[in-house]
Amino acid sequence: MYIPVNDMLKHFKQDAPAMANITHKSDQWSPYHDNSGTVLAVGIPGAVIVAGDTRLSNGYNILSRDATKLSQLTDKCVLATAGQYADFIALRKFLQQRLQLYEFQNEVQASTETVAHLLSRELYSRRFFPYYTFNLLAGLDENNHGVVYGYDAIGSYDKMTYGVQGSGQELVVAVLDNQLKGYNKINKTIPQTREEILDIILDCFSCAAERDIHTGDNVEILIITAAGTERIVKPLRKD
Amino acid sequence: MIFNPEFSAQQQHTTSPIVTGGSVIALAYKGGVVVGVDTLCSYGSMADFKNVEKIAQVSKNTIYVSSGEFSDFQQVVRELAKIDRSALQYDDGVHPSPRDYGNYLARLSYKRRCKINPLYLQNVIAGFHNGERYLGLVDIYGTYLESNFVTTGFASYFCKAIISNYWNDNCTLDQAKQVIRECFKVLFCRDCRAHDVIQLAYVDEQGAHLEQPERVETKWDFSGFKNRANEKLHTQ
Repeated sequence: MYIPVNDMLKHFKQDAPAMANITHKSDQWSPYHDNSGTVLAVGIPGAVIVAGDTRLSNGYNILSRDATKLSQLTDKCVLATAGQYADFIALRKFLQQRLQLYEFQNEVQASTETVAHLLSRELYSRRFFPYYTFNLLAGLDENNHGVVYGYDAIGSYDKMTYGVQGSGQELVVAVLDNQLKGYNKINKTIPQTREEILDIILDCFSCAAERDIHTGDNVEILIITAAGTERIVKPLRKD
Repeated sequence: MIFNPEFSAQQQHTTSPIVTGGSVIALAYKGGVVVGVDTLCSYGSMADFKNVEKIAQVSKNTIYVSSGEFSDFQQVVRELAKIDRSALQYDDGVHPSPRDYGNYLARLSYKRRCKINPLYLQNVIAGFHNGERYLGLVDIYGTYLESNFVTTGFASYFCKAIISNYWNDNCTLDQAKQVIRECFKVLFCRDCRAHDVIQLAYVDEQGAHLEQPERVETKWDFSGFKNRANEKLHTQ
C-alpha cells in the first residue's frame, strides 16, 4: 500500500522557526528556560541501562517531582533528555510521529542507528533556533548489544558505551570514567554484571542529588534487553 | 517613543503583561478536581477590575483558568470554545476530553513561544472524563505537566507547603475547598496583587460546576491594630 508520507509530513511539520529577524535586546523575553535534571545511560553486552531523575525545576522552584525524562521510542531504543522540558515534549512528539510513519511504511521498527541519525537531523534542522535539549539515545544495536549515542543541542553526535547529560553531568562523568573505563584507577577491575552497574548508577544519582539542586526526587531506570523493558523507580533525596 | 515611526512600524509582541490575573490553585480530590482563583485583574500595581469571573468552562467537563495577561486568556478561551463548537458540528456525540484541551493548549503555547510571541499565561486545565480526574498545567514556554495539585504565580511560593500539610489524594470536596480558602487567605495577606474575593469551581462525574464568588474571611480586629498601638508608640 502506498502511503503518501511526504504529504502527511507537511501537516505536522511546519517551517522551522528562526531567530534571524529578532533583534537582541537585554529586555527581550527569552524563549529558553532550563528545567534541567540528569540523565545517564550505560550500554553493556545484551542490554542497555538508561536512567533519569524525575525532578522538574523552574529556577529555585520545583515544578514537578515525577516528570519523566525518558521516552521509549521503539522496542529497542529510549530517548533520555535534560534541558528545557517544553522542547523535550516537542522533540519526543516529532520522533514518535516519524517513527510511527517509518513503521507503517517499512513494516518494521527503525533500528537504533536510524533513530540516532533522525534525531541528529531534526536537531540540526533547528540549527538557528536550537532545541534546548541535551540528549542521550540508548538502545540495542543489530547484535542486541547496548549502545549509547550522545548529542549536543544542535545535533552533533557520537556513539559511545556510556554517557551522562544534564545539570549533574560534571559531577557524574568522572566517576563513570573511573568505574566503567578504569581511568585513574589503580586496581583496574571493571564491573561486568548488570547488578554491579545498576549499583554504580544509583550511587551516581544519589551523589548528584546531594550536590546539584536540579537533580532529585526519584530516579527512573529502564533496562532494555531483546526480551523487553524493565522499569525501576528508586527514591532520591527530595530537598 | 509613541511617535517614532521606526518603532511603531515594527510589530509589537507581549514581552511584559499589562492587565494581569493573580494566582490559581487547583487540587484533585476524591471524585474530581477543584479550582480556585481570585476575581481581581490588576493594571500594574493598581487593583483595576475587582469583579472578573476568570474561570471559563470550555466544554461540558473541562474548565480552564490561568494567571498572567488577561487579554491572552480571553483569546485562548475563544480558541478553546471553538474546538467544542466544531466537535458539535459533526453531531456524533464525540467530544474532546480534558486531556485533549490540555494537549492542544500546550502545542499552542509552544508554537507561540517559538515565534517569540508568547501567550503570557500560566494555564490550568481541569476536567473529569471516563471516571478519571484530570489536572494539567501549561506554562508560557509550552511546558506541559499533569499533576495532583497545581499552583501558579505567588501561590507557587506561599501555598505549596500549606497544600502538602492539609491535603491528601482522598480528601473530600469540602476539605479541598477549605485548603484553597486557607491558601487565598495567606495570599491576600502577603501578595500585593491578590484579592479577598475568590471564585471556586469543580469538575466531577456530573460535569463542571462554577460557584458564585465568595469573600475569604480575614481578621483585622486585633486589639493592637484597633487601638493603633503602633502610632501611640511613635508619638510618645
